[in-house]
Amino acid sequence: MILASNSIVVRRGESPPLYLPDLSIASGAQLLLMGPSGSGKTTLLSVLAGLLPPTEGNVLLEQQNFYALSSVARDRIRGKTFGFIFQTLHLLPSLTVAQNVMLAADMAKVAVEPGRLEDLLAKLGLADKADRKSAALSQGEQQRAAIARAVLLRPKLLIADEPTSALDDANTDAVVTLLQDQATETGAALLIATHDARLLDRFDTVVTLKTQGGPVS
Amino acid sequence: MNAVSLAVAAIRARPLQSALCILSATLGSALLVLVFLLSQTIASGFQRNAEGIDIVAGAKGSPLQLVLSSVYHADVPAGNIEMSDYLALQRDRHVRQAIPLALGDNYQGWRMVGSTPDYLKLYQAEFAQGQVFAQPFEAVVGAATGMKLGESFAARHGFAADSNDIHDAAMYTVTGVLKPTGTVLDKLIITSMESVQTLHSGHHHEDHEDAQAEGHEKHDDHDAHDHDEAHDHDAHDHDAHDHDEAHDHDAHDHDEAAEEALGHQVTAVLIKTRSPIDRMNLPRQINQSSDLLAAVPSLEMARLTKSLGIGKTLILALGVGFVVLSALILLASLASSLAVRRYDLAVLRVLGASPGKLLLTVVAEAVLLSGVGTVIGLAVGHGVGYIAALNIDTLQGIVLPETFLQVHVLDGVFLLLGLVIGITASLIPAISAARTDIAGLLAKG
Ligand SMILES: Nc1ncnc2c1ncn2[C@@H]1O[C@H](COP(=O)(O)OP(=O)(O)OP(=O)(O)O)[C@@H](O)[C@H]1O
Ligand SMILES: [Mg+2]
Repeated sequence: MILASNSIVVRRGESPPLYLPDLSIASGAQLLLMGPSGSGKTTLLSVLAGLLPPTEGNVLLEQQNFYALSSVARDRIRGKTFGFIFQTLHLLPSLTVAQNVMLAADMAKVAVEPGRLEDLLAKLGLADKADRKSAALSQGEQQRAAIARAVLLRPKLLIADEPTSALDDANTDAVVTLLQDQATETGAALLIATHDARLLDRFDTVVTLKTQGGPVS
Repeated sequence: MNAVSLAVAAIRARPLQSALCILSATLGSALLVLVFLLSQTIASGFQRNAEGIDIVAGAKGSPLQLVLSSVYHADVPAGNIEMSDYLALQRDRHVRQAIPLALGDNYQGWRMVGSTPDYLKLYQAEFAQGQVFAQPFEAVVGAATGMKLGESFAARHGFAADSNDIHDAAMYTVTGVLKPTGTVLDKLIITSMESVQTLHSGHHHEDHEDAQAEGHEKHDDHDAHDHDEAHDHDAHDHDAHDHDEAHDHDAHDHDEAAEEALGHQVTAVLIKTRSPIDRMNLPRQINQSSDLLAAVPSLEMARLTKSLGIGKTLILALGVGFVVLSALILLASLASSLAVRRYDLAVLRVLGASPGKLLLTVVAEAVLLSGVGTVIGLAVGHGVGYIAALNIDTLQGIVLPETFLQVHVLDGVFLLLGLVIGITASLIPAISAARTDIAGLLAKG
């Protein structure tokens, strides 16, 4: 198991407590996290990534209690172990495409082998866009740049939050294929959280979240 | 991409706001450094010019006027004193050195000073060319006059170049050119006291002959000379010196009397006392027991500086105002840019940056903006001071322009101050950036 969660409960402010399902993700596995809006998908991803200490329960990252580590240590491990793709593509508009992709290495303070950036950009059809400001890219190009950044360091886990909710069928297919291929290629486990039912038949393993109530699996 | 290059990218992404931050920091620091440098160089210039002069004695009038006119050559003297007064001072056992000054002429606006070579020594003047005056009508010129060795010239009566009363009876010759001293000496033409006195005693007689030789058309528009013929003989008669009544050109009378008086008078005496106690007592003694006025340059200048201090305080307040304004602009700019960049910061966190790194990025942005602004401001302050010192007449001889081109301790102090203010202004936005609730932001999409 590369990542597992046990009996996670999150209480925040006035909101009712969220009971989140137990997950266990094997190295290289591909998994879909389904659930309606507000069911806690993003919350669960935050907990798994070490960004949100759960009120109850624990997260095991490679058999280690993730939240036993300091927050700075979790930041460092997250940078090296996780690749993230957000629903709204968060490239820094003031940086170039290459700089945006390299942020993954810079923030995790990890060196990248020479040629890795160029290879990756070429593979994702961004070779000629490397030195453009990311704000000058199309939606699709931005999404590919975000994927390039997520896989740059060959993370053990590739996590995407609603990567397809704004896309048409053809693009949804293309993006899921790209994510699955990249995950396979870099040996990463893939976890996609979505309420997009179009993705259901692309994954063998599906974990479902319900709007309220107790844990579901 | 480290914290600094991220900050640079953020600064370049908002050129207008960044420029505003830099500009306000520039204005504040430029004003502050300019005022401090000016007041410091002026104060040290005052001091440099009065070095070795404990007391000035001259005709009764205002002490400040006496000091300004005879030490700084910035005002018109109130009158002259008798040669015998000077000789008495020279003999006084409390006086170590008494240097006479005979003022009242100029050449192209450069004041002429009739004195002794001791006057040059007072300022430790060195010769760039030539040597000290030895014969009558030899003159030594200050570096700023731009006059050449061997140049010959006629003095004009008065302190301004537009006087039309020319002493063309005798021509002066430049026998020495001084190196710059950074004192008022640079703007003076120094000659022997005897030269000035001879010129004034012989004024009417010889000037007239000379003017006649030049022809009458020229002579006619020389108002000052119109009546010269009427009392040729008077000019030779210094001791029975009351020709005031001899003619009725009232406006001219006084001027002429003063002018001729220089033939046997001096304008002021620069005194170095034998001991500090003498320096304290001698002025009172002179003021009480003679017709002379004694003034202490350091006291008069201290009083003047104090009254100028109000202006300095005002400009300083303006500078401080700009510094505070720049801090506020920086704060507002950082806060608004962070509101826009919240998600960027969250992304950095997800990519593995620690909260400390976000804090550092924001602080780096502030340090860059305020640092660049302060450095530009310091350069501008120095530059404006330099240009002012070069071009404002009253500053010449008091302020050395070159001092504005040198790095000053104040620069370090102001740079540090600018950075501290920048960091302070950035602390609140920086801490809020570091504390960003990443999970909450992600949940909002
Ligand atoms: N910062 C927060 N403080 C309090 N409650 C929150 C916070 N963020 C989210 N919630 C609540 O937690 C619940 C789960 O939110 P979450 O964003 O995880 O849902 P989601 O499944 O990702 O929804 P969506 O599909 O719309 O993205 C929601 O009821 C939401 O209102
Ligand atoms: Mg969500």
